[in-house]
Amino acid sequence: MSEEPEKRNDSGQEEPQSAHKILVEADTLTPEPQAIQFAARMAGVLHAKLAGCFVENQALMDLVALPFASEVSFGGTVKPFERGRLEREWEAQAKQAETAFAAAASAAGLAWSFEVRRGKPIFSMLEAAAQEDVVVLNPGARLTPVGELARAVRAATADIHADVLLTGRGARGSATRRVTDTVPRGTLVALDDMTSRGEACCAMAQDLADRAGMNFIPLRTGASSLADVVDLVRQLAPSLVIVNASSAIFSQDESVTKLSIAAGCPVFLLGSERKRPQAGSGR
Amino acid sequence: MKRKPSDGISECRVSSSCSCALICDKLTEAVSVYACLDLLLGNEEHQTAANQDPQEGTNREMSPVQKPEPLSPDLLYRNCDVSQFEFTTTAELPDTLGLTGQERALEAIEFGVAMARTGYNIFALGPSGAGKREAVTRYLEKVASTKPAPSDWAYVNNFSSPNKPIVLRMGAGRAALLSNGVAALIDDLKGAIPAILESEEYKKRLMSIDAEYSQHQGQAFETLRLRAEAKNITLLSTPSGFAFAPLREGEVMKPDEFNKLPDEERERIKNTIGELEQELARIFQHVPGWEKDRREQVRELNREVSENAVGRSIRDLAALFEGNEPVRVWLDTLEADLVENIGLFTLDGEEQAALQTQSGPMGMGSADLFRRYQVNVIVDNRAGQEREPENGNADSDFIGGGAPVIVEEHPTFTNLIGRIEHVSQMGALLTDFGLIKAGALHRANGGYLLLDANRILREPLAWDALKRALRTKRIALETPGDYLSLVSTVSLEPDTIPLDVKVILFGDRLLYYMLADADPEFGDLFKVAADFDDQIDRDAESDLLYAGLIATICRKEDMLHLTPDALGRVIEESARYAEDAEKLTLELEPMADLVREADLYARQEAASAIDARHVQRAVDARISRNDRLRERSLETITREIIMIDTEGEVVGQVNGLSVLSLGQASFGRPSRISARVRMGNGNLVDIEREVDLGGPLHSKGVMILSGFLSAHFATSIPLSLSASLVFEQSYGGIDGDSASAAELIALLSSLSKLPVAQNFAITGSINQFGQIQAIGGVNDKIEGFFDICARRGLTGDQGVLIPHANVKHLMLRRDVVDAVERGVFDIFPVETIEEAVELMMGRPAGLRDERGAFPDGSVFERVEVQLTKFAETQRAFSSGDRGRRG
Repeated sequence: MSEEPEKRNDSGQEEPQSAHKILVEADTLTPEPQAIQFAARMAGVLHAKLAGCFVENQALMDLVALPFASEVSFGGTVKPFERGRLEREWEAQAKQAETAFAAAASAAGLAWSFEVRRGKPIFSMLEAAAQEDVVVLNPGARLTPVGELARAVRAATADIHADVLLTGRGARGSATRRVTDTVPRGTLVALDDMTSRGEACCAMAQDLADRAGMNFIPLRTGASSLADVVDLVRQLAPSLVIVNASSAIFSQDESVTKLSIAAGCPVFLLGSERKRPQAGSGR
Repeated sequence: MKRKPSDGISECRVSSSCSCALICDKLTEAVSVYACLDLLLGNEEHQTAANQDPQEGTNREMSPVQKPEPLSPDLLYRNCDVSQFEFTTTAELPDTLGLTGQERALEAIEFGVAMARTGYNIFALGPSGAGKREAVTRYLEKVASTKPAPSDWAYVNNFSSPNKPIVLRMGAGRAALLSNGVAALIDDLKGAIPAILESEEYKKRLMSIDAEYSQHQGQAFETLRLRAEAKNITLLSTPSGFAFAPLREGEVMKPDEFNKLPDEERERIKNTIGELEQELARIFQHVPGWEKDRREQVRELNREVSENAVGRSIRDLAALFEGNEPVRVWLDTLEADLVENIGLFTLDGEEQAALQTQSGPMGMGSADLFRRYQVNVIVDNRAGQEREPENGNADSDFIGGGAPVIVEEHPTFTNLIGRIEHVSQMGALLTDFGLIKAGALHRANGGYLLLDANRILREPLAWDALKRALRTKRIALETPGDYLSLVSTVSLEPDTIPLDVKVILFGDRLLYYMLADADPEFGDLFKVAADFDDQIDRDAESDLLYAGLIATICRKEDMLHLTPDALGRVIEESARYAEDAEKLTLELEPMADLVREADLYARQEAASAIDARHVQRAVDARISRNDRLRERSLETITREIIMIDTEGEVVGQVNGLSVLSLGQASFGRPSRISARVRMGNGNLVDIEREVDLGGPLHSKGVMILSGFLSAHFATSIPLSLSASLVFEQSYGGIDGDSASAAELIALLSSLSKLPVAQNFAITGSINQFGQIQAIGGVNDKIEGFFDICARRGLTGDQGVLIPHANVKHLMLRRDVVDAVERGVFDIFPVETIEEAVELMMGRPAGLRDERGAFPDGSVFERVEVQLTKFAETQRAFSSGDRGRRG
């Protein structure tokens, strides 16, 4: 699959050039427009491009070729699983996802692109990611095994050096809205594990809070356990949590999911070694 | 000056050239109704004849006939004695209430207002300008202020059935308390609820519920997934569900790999997947139940956390309405709905807009999702509350103090019973309880509602709606479409409101009697008739009363005041308007108009007060403004297009008199009445009736002539007369019997072959005994004949014969009175036909002597001879006929 050419916003205005993009998977299970909108607004704050990716799961294409392939619908009905129907449904969902993408990008005045890939979900999208890109994942959007999500996060942050933004699960409505409002409100919490990556994480968070008009609270976690960190974060009721993806608290596969649920808001996992932002670089 | 038919005796004669023929027909019809009504009411002039003792009639015939003398000028116009006025101008007089002479009507109003039983509503009837409304409102202002203010009413949302809004009744001024209280509650909750929902405790508990739900669901899926993986099978999500696929080295098995497997292995995989699918299907079937449990838990949580905030505020509010069970019950439902819809308080602008679009009527209006919690106060009886005109009707006014006194000047269906407004949303018309608007009945509930009967009858459906409300004692809010069952779409069905109102209708007598006759419900619903008199006796006391009334009007309208002379002229005009020198009209509006017009002329002369000249100028100007028709009528006679003789003698031809009323113009004019006779079967042919130009009263008059002739002449032989009577050059309708005396003179002249003097005109109705009875419009009629004579030049022997009973009605124009004073015009009062005959035919009519015979040469003797000849000829014809047949 080849990447589609970059598209302009509706006004046709030249967008600020940006080296990195925010990559959102248009899930095959739920279109998740809220995640797309959130990604679009985040892209606005970070001066990033918005890139959508619809992944056609190759495993399903293999399955429909089997003689006994069948599907259990959400209503609990077992029915034959056919290739023609699968392709039609993919096509419809991709179209729907692209439309939602275009609307969200236009509303934020962003340049955007959208592509359809076939392969393994998440990992196929990660193929399109590069260093300092932000990969938006929604842990609650699919029955993704905890281990697989953790592997995907690790692949994105450690291998590609991209950042991951976890939406969904605990990131419910009101909290999600706060970070996107133009009115300065809400709290951005950065977890500082007292490493150089942690320091970079705090700097990036400070910059982001300034741009978004949010309160900024650096939280020194040091060698604290995940449970302690989760308690602290919950008490602060933040609108966004930023944490170093290589932090020791993520030593176990389920740590990412636990923090996401406990925070009740999106969690930004910093995988790139972002440079300290220059003064005046903000909006 | 516009004159209404009065005394039940009048006539309207209209030329066919008149473009207002239809109007005249209506007038004629109205005159007839008036005549009937006056008879029903016991008009004494009519009853004089009806109750006449026949024996008395016989005695009258035996008494000698005195030739009537003409009336002296002082009887033609009764001047007001201004010497009784001891003031320089009316400015020195105190205000006078215009209710003197209306004691009967006032008693009826007092009775109707005091009577609290069903149907004792009031119909104030009487002429317009008689001060009916003023009298009623003045009395009601006094009574209403002593009564407690009635209940407030408000419509609120019925949360379980929004199309059936609930009505709440509260003490006066309490509705605003509830409305403000609920508004304050919602405002408080807009701050409190989001704070609660953002609280750590709430979030923890919500997450706990979510976690439990997720765990429940996730665990089931995870267990299944692990079981599947244990059998080397993976669970995949598909666009519309889930599917199981066999694995090989961690990847979904390709078809060729699967096909290479032994049959047993393929069958085993197939069966395993089949079992897993069945299990997954069972899990899915449980999902709605889990979701329902989750929602219930969230609802319970919301109820728990919001109960404090919502419950406390509502309890405070409910305490204010202790004892008012409906309000308490509604506040309970409000609390339940608030708890149920706590999420509304956390929505942002976009979500509210989206929800509004979906939510239909509840979402419309001022971008306020919380209008479902509004209290729509439709009646607010707070003390001193000034009401805004709620229906855009600026004339609607709130008068009362305690109990409301509402005047509805535009009593349409919706202005009366209220209306349900709609707003257009995406092409559909939507409504809700907040769009219910009160009508006059709502606002007057517990008090008094004043309506103009004519106006309400003109408005479609309004009269029926009012009657239904009074009959059922409830106000049922409906759209006109619903009322007529024209619309079958779902609309609001608000609770009905119990009605306790006293309705006072204002209208004229004709309308009252028509309603009483035509509407069977009217009598049951309007049991009290407050009958306002239109006249009072004219004496020194009433002159002073009038002075006070005029002074009050001048002061109220900031007009110049009147000198005693000017006031005298106004009083004289009042008597003329009443068509009775011994009465004053109580229709004050026309008199007030006269003063207003005189005020204009006085101001134009920079006078400091209105004097008699200004009043006279106003009178003359008014006549002049309406004089075109009269002038045209006079011209057609003086140019002899309409033939009227005012000199000489003619057999079978008499000058009758009639009144023509069109709009504000009303004037008299003579009409030539002719009669022709021959032998016949006793038939009097009324040509007017034959061609449908004569009304029933006119026909009745003609038939009375037949009765007079057959009883008065040759009583022992058959009346063998055939006669025809006609109003010459009459091309319009005619009614009334005031020409019957003239018709009888014409007949007698034709029978006796004796001429009638054309220098006289006569008006009066005749009865079977030959008595001449009173008629209406006597002044106009005299002036009408006088004008013709004056145009042609008064000869000195001209005059008008009028019924003696009408002498008291004379208020003639100054020029007529002057002519009488100079002896060039006479007005003769006559009581019997004999007097009229002697005057108009120049010889005695004749009275029967002891032998029963009329004197030789008398008019009646010649008539009897002629009738006898007709009878004999008739007999001869009949004998010849029998002989021929025999």
